[in-house]
Amino acid sequence: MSKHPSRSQVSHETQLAEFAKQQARIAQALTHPSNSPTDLSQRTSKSSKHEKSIPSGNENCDGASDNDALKELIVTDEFRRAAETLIRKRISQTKSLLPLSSEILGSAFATHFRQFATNHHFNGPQAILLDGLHFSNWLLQNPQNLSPACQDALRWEYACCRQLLCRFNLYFPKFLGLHEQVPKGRWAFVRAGQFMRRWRISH
Amino acid sequence: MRWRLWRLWRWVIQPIYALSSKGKSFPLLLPICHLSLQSLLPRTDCPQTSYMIFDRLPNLGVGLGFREPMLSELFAFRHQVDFLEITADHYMNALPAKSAELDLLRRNFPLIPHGLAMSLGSAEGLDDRYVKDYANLVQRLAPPWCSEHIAFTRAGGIDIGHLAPLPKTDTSLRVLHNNISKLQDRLQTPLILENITEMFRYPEETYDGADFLGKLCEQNEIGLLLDVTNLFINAANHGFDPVLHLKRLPTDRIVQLHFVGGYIENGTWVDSHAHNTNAEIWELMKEVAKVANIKGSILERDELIPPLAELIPELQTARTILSEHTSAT
Repeated sequence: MSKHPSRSQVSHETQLAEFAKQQARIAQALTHPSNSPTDLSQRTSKSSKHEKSIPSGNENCDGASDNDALKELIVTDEFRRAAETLIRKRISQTKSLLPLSSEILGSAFATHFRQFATNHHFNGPQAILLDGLHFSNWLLQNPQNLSPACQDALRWEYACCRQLLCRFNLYFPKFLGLHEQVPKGRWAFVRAGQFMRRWRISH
Repeated sequence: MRWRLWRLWRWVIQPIYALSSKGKSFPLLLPICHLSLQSLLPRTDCPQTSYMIFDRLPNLGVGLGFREPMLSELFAFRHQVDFLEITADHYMNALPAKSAELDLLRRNFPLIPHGLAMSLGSAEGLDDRYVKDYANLVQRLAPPWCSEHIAFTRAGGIDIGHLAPLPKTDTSLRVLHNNISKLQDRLQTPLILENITEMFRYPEETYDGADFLGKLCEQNEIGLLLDVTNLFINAANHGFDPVLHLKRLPTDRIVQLHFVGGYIENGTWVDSHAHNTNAEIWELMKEVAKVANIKGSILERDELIPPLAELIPELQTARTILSEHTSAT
């Protein structure tokens, strides 16, 4: 058997690599909508063009010509709405974490968050908490436009987010049979006199 | 005699236990080390997917997608909720409080784990740690089936935080096949996949939605979790007939349904998971019940969750529709 991959294998791998790039571009465009290169007028004109286009027979989404198709996709109204849905979801989740600040700021909360979201995106299961933490901190860095009450609320809610992110857990050793209830890989902090001791949880 | 026992303990039992737990245990604190003998038994979590016959799955009835605010009232309506669908991501690596909540739910309801962030459509493959955690949760719950989405949520190091649609091409099918196979290698439980709301469509696709799902079911041993609301919203937003689309789906693979209401914003239907089920969706559900042997249906409310007393009538409506229309066939 030849050690070299066959031509079809190579083409499959190339297609997969191209597909992965395409997905990365879509993820980037969805999570950072304002970084998309076109303005609204271009979006509208291109979207109408796209809406008229009919999916063709055996073509697929791979290959060089599809890069243009992808660019067209990213500026469609549909895609813009999808990105808008995502940002609204983030705003609503962050509001639930910062209820006092959102009440004080009113509609300005969403405006500020949109500015914040152009440069900030967090990954992982704690992304919502990180949004709350960093957004409150980001607002507090320019306190000139914020009322004292709003600043107090932000400081309080920043502390709450930090508390939620730092989980203080005790763990139970394996021989007690309770180890399954405690997740691996986290730190446990225990006060010992005037010092804090910490343990890495590993079973 | 004592010395012999000590040698047996130190050189035979302790090494066996230490090997079984990959050296991460506390070998000097093991009065119950005989339990380690369990680890010598053959592993049962090997890939076993060929037996999956979706017809034989138990009928679970009509239930709720469990969300934390429901907990306080849930037990008051225990007899009106047949089963619960839990969001798997909330209970993977859970803290003790969440773990206790899961145990409480498991003692009282049949549970179905529903994953969100597996990203089965990611060309860069699955996150091994996520797969492991998901498989551990499924193994712990031992549900009749488990579910995920036909979508991608992660690409290029970015977590999108939402389900993004895949282009309906052969490349997507290949990616899905690879990822589904990897996931099924870790699961003993039948896997069903959900259709998502397609917020946008790719300009050049090889298949339409029904053909794509047909091909996907043909290539993989999976069932379908048909979200009736998503089907309705996709049909309304992208201009196709949902009933015709439904008839072209592999209906023998439909195992479970999702339903909830949506609303119209600027002429577009939005899948908000925050409204009561619309009349159009009930109508579509009747059509689904006519063609599929449904094993369970879930009302999926995520936002603006009202008191459970307001959700129970929706469960009852679904129950009536499913019993009337399924029995008619």
